[in-house]
Amino acid sequence: MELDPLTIVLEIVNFLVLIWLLKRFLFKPVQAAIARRQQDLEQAQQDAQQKAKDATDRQQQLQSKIDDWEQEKIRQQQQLQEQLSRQREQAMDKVRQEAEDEKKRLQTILQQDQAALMEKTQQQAQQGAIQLTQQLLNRLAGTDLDQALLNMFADDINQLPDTERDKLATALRKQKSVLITSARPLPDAQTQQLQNILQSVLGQNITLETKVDEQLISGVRLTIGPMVLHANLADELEFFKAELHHAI
Amino acid sequence: MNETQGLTIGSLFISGSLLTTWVLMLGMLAFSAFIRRKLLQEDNPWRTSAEILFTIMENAVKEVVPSYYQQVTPFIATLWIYLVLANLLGLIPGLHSPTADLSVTAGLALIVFASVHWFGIRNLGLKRYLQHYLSPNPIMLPFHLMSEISRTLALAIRLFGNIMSLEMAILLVLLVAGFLVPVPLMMLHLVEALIQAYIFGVLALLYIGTSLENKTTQPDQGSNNT
Repeated sequence: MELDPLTIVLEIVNFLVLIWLLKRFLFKPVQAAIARRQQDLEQAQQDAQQKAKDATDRQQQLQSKIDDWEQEKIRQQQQLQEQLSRQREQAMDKVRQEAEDEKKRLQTILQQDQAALMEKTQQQAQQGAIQLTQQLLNRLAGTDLDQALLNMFADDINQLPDTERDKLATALRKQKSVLITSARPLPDAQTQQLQNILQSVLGQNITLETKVDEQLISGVRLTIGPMVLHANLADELEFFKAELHHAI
Repeated sequence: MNETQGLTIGSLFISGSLLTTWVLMLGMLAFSAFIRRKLLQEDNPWRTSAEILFTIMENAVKEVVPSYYQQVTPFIATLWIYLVLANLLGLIPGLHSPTADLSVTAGLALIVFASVHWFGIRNLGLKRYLQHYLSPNPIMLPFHLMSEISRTLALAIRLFGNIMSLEMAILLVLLVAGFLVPVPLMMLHLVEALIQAYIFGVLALLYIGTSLENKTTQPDQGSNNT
């Protein structure tokens, strides 16, 4: 356990050399490797941060696009709803108009049907009344009624205005004869009565021609040229029928 | 023991400890070259291990002298690596730990002694560094000087005594009890080798840190003096 100065000195030299060697060949390369690793880590960290930033930016862009799409969707939904609402309103208006038109058309048809039915009913009632009247008059027809009608004719012709008498007289002068149509053969007395009445009213001698027409029911029809004087039930019924038809 | 082994070149006697140290240095140099090649590769386990080990040592130095760790780390790291390997060398049959030689540990202690003043003067300046011996009072100067001498002696003798005594104990047990019986003591030697290397390096670091303590409040000045 003796101290050897040479060993001490050489050990000091050895150690100093060892420090230099390790620093030169071990520590500096290790430090450089650590620096490289640190640099790689920082680079990787920067890359990761950059990627994270890019991802965040991308996410924001996508979110912005999604928001835009969402707003566009809402806007288009609103437009579509408005358009649908307008179309529905238009369709409803059209349907209402068509329903109204159809209603009017049906009302018109109904009114026409009602009018036709009413007219038909009236015509039927009219025909019934006329037939009933005709049946009744057929049963009442006879010589007495012929005489009554003849008397009524005498009264009426006596009350004719002068202008009408002149027309009859003129027609008689051209024709020279009067056609008397009766429902049945006139008795001589009635024929004579008629001749007297006409001569008295018209102031001329006249020739009577007689004709039987059972359709007249009762009374006579006097034909003087183009003029016809009615004093029978058949013509009265026709007048009555025409009046009814005109009234309807 | 070591005094009896060695190499005589003319009038110079090269002790076995020095020869062992040179062999150890050659081995460390070769290992450095090997590691240097591995450091060029990506994701190599040797590279990773070297980086981890260096970072651990650097952080340990940084905790004591955060402003000067780049200056001090090579010295302390070399101490730790050399002492670990030198202490463990005694476990190889036929070899002796260089640190079981008091001359070697004395040389190392002198290097630590010199490095404390070197780092102190380099970073604080001679005048300011010497004022440290007069603080807090000039009366403290003898005590500071005694402290310098005693701690240097303690460094040398502590390492020498531990390693030498363990080797001696293993040898005695081997002689008395026979083969394989000293294995527990060799395990203890393994642990003791690591602990003594760590203690020597940490004490050297603390002594350097103490010499730089007046400067540690100004961290930006020393960090660039690499």
